[in-house]
Amino acid sequence: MAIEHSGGPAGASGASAISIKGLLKRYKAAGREDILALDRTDIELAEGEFVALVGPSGCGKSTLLKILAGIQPPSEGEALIKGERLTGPRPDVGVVLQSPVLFPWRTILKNVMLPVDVLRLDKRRYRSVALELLKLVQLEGFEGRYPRELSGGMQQRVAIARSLINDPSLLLMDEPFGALDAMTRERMNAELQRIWMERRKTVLLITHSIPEAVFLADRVLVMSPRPGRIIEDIRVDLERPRPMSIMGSADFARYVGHLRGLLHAEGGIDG
Amino acid sequence: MSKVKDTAISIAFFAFTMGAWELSTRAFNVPSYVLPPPSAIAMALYRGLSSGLYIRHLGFTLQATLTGFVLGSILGIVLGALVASYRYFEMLVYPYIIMFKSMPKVALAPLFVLWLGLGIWSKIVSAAILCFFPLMINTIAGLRSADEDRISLMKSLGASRFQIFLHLRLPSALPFIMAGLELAVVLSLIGTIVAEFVGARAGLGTLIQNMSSNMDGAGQFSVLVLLSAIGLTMNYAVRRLKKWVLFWDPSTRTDESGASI
Ligand SMILES: Nc1ncnc2c1ncn2[C@@H]1O[C@H](COP(=O)(O)OP(=O)(O)OP(=O)(O)O)[C@@H](O)[C@H]1O
Ligand SMILES: [Mg+2]
Repeated sequence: MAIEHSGGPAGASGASAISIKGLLKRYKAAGREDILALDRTDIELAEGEFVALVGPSGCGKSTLLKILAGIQPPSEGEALIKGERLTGPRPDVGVVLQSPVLFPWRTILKNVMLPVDVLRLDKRRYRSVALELLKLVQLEGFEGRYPRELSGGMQQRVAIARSLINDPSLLLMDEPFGALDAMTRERMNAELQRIWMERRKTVLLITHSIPEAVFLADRVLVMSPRPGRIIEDIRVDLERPRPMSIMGSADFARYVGHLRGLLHAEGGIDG
Repeated sequence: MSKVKDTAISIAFFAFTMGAWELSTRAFNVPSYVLPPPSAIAMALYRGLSSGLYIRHLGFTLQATLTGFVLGSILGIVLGALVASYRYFEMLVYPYIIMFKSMPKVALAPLFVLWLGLGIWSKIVSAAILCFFPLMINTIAGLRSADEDRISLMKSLGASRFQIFLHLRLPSALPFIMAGLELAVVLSLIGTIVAEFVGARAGLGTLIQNMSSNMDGAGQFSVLVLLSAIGLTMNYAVRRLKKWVLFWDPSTRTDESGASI
């Protein structure tokens, strides 16, 4: 099997969920030189596609995600989400950050309901959705607990449930499992695949783990060191659902080896 | 078991201290207006309470203290929220805050008595001014302490500034506000007593001054006992409130020893 360069997005519909053109981000620093975090980046994501983004530390991955989440404006270029120009946060985009970012004064259920409160949706109706999502992330019965009573992995699953509450069609994840131990991480990977296959969302996952990227993604994008640009776009042709055991297969190893080679040539990856 | 033992030892130690105090004041013939023996203090306390004299003054002082505490704290929280939320407002008032912050506010008590008279309002304002600053400063710090990632998350949901304030900044500020209240509760009593010293028709501060000019040492000490009882009770009430409000904050469960100044 040869490793293919993807010719761009491919999905059932072929329509673009995310389309980034010439996106550039410069951080202004008072009294010092500006930091060019992202350099004229182009990315296309088809609807329903699972895309992983890997790259060396500090290359601008989180910057890209924050722009797509509407938290920060780009300096130049534009991003289209479902064909519409991105101007700020959108309710159909869910975000999961590296740490769970739960609110300690809210119960688990109320944490999952946070987007419902902010978007002023019908609380009664979404309560049952939240309970269903907690079941989906296997946290049934924890709705009345507080975050400090949960382990790191459980908290991260709450964050995933929260990002799904208002059924966003697009999920942005910034190293969501970075803080977990290897065992928990692999279990979370399997769960994320299951959730994705059940819900069919478009996912952009930033990760430092090459096996995680290969295991989960339809396509893996590789970024150069700062200022970040996409230097490789690789299609992962492994059948779904991928069992955990696939990580031991020769095909899997070839993808991982190829990506690792690329990243080392580009100045390394940490973790 | 060991708890019972600890309590017994504490009581024994207290009895020993009181006994030593009692005996030495008698043995060395210390005049009562310098240091009265505990038995005299207890007698004075009993007489003052049973005659209703202390209760009347206590009522006045308590009313001024609590009103000042509530008004000063609310004002501090509201102004702190305004300073933390509006840059323009901060620019306008910050110079005054800096100026007043390092001034010993008790020194303003004579002015309040001059402006507001010998009645309760000069005591309330004096107490309120002392409570105001720790609350304002802690509220500002607390509202600004909101976690960057949580702010990003709220923004990604499209939350308005007010929603971020309500759902994130305010709860994040609560530990700071509660710490401010713990300080303020002690300060409000100080503010009231100092203003009563300057001039008042009633109150425990006035009582102490009258007793002082009558060289009634036992009386003064008995009022001091009463004042610490008030202080302890208010401190306890705020600590209970804090535990109730900050049930989610693990740090509040460990500092049972309590802060005092
Ligand atoms: N708010 C900011 N202000 C100034 N510079 C920033 C800011 N955020 C990020 N940067 C800079 O932009 C560059 C890219 O940062 P970014 O967080 O996007 O990297 P990253 O690829 O997510 O790294 P990592 O893998 O370590 O998370 C870095 O050099 C960083 O120092
Ligand atoms: Mg990052």
